[in-house]
Amino acid sequence: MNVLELDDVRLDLPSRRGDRSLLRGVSLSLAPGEALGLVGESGSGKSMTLRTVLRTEPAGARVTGRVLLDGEDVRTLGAAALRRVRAEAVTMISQNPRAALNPVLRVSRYLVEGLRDARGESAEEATRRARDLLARVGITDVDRCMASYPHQLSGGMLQRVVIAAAVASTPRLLLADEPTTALDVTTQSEVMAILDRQRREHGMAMLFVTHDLELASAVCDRIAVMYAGEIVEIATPEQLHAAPRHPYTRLLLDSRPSITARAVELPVIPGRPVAAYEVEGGCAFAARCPWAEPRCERDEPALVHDAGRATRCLRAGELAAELAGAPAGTPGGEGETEVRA
Amino acid sequence: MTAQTLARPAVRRRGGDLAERLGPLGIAALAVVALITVAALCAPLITSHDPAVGSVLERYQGPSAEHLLGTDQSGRDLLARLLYGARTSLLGAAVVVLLAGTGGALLALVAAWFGRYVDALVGRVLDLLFAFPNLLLAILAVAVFGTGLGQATVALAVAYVPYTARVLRSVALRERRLAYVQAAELQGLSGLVVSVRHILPNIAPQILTGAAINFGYAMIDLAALSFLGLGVQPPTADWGLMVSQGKDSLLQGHPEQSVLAGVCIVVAVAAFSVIGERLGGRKAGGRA
Amino acid sequence: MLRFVLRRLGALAATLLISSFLVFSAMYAAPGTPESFLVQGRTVSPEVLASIRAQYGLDDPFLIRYWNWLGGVLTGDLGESLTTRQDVASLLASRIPTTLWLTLYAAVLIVVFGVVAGALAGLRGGAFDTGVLLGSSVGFAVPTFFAAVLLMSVFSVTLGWFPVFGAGSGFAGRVEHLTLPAVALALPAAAVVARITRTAVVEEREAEHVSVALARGVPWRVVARRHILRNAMLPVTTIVGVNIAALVAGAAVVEHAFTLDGVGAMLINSVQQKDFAVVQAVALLLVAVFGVVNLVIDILYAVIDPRVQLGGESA
Repeated sequence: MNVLELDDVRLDLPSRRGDRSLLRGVSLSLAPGEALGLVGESGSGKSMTLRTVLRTEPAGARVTGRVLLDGEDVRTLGAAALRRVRAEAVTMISQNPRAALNPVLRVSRYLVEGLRDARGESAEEATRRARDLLARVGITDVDRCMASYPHQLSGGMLQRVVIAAAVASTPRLLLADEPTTALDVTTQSEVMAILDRQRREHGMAMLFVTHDLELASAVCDRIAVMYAGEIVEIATPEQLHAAPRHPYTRLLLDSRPSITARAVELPVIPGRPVAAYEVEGGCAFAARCPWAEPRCERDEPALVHDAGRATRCLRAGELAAELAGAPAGTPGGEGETEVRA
Repeated sequence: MTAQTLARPAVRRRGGDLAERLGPLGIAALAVVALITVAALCAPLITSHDPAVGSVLERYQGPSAEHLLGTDQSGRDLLARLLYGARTSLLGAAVVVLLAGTGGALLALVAAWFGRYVDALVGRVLDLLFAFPNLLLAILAVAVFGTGLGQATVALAVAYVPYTARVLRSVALRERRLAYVQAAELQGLSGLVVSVRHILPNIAPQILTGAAINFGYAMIDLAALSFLGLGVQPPTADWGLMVSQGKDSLLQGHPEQSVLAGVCIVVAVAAFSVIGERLGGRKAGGRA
Repeated sequence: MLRFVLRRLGALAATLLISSFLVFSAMYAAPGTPESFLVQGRTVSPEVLASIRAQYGLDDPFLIRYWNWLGGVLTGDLGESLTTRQDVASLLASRIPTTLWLTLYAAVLIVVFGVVAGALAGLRGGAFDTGVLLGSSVGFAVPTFFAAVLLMSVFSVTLGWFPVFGAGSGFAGRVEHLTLPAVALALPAAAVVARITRTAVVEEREAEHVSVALARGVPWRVVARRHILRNAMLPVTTIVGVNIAALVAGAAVVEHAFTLDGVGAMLINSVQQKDFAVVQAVALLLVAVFGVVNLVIDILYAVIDPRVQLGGESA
């Protein structure tokens, strides 16, 4: 059975000018121990998708669809059962560790309370385990770290503390929301390596939200690309890099700077990202898509599954060869072809 | 330096969305304030009684056609005293706010313009004044200036200046460092001209907001001084004084005078604080 | 920490010194000569007047008089009241207990009603929240002196539950006599404190670390106590402190209203009678107490917020 299964999850947020749709039917599944990357631009709904799992979406949001955790719908759980799920089955690592820890309490409090208050372990046991966990995420001076207040530690140190707390309960599922974005570039890879190793050691499944396609490719088994509140493509990193099937994925890949060649000018995706609530019929990406045809503006594409991957594009079949090839095939992108030569 | 950074930021116009800023409660408060003001101005048209004269033979009368709200311990018409009392209460608070705003703005501009030692000196003086509880400062000022409406008004203004000056000083200092002010200075305009023409209009919104907020406090504090016998002196009609004078009557079972005057103060202060709060833009509980 | 306290105490001493000079000069500049009050309109011979002036040192130059007075203050001699001829220091000492009890009582009321009501309103929301908001709006607009008169009217005159005058003796007597004055004194401050506590709690509720703690399965009770209330108490401490410090002077109004024999009432009477020896002494005392209370708040704040470092050099 899948650890996590999202089935047509929709989220609407009431605002002054009527409801705003942020998720327009997200479906995905995660096998035990699997890592799934959720990639997209800001506002594409990737973080919101994550938040529906632990029901930490903004107050007032209306969520429909099913979020199955080990086959049980978390959206219908009572308060006590939900708390048990939060304490034991699923943990979340958020973007900014500085905001995640109470600024006026010591790190030891943060670590111990997750074990003691949430899971009912004894104080001594919780403290002993907390120290052990800190050592395992590569913190050398455990005593000092335990006695520190958050403002006395660096962002990288804090995120290690958060990771230590997250793996403490050996949850079946780890939700990571851009866990390295707020860190210095030098500590990003370090923290990511620690997170990846801890995850593998404990055999946890992970839903990894990031805007960094490369990073997701490095640590995830599969990648789901999101655009305007829906998933447009799911595939393994290898498949995605070798032959993207959705135009948006192709353009995302092209807009990364190449490591091997110096770019004169980085290609950008034309137009601006569309928010989910701005989509009115047709393909959400049509307005920015170089390959769009009149029918793309009219007909709404469905997520079509095919040989272990899925694509949401009306022209996926006809464009397959073109998108898989070098960026040379990009219509109207002649200027960009030189760039990556 | 680009033309854009040199252009003077437009003073935020507020006329158009004033109603929206105030909200329904704010508009109601504005109506209350207008009503009190009109009543104070038109007091002689509303009642023919002299607020300061009464007949002891008519003391403690209940409401009647002759005395709509009854009479006090000296047989004076309570309605007339409330109406004329509104005059001293409003006028006094207005003068306090005006003086405190002017003094505060002056200190702020001087501190901002000269900076360095002058600013440090102004800062120290403000610190020193903040070492005194607000009411103590007012009482000491009364000790120097003497009792009476005018004296108490000046005394309160002295007690309020530190507060207005502190707020305005920080705003003025920020404004002083902006490119357009420095550019004006480079053009050779005098400090006075730049301060008045450029800095003052930009701290004006804060002056007005501060005035609206302080008005309610000033009414309470002025009434408190009168209540203590340090402000308005009898037989002048004043709400604070009426609460005080009504105390003896109250102990004899005639609470009308104190209660009526007190209610007037509460309503007026509540109205002013609602307006001040709305104009200030930060409603309690909301983040920017 | 110790260095911080010592430095602040030094600053307070300097403030007191300058304040004493300001107050003394203000009284010197005030219209109406002390001797005209002393003779109280009686016709006295120039010789008597001269002897009075000599007795009180009124003919000395200003700075000499200030110096003499300051020297007296430092040795505990606050001078002699012009009206009663009593020693100001002992007069003051006899008045302090009433004011002390009154302000302590009011401070307790502010903390209990202001903080507790505000915290519950912020945590619970709903009808209780609306009630607290409404109550604090009204409480804020009611001036202390009017609250005093109203309470007196309802609970003393009409219901007869509490005595009208006097400060009472013994603990029970004091509580009985000082309840209405303390309530009147605490009311506006409690209203402000309740409002700010509520805002702080609501804001803290929305903090990310609170939702993180909940998402980790920490029970709501624990989150409310450890994360919401504890953090909300930081701004609340400051505002409670400021309001308690202000009671020092605000007590004057209540003491006057209830004819209590406190320090504040003494200040009012001496101002009216131009008994400047007493005014100076009371003013200095109030500034000192005000300063000490504010210092205590700052220390307390640093104790409960680990991010604040006392020392001044580092931010």
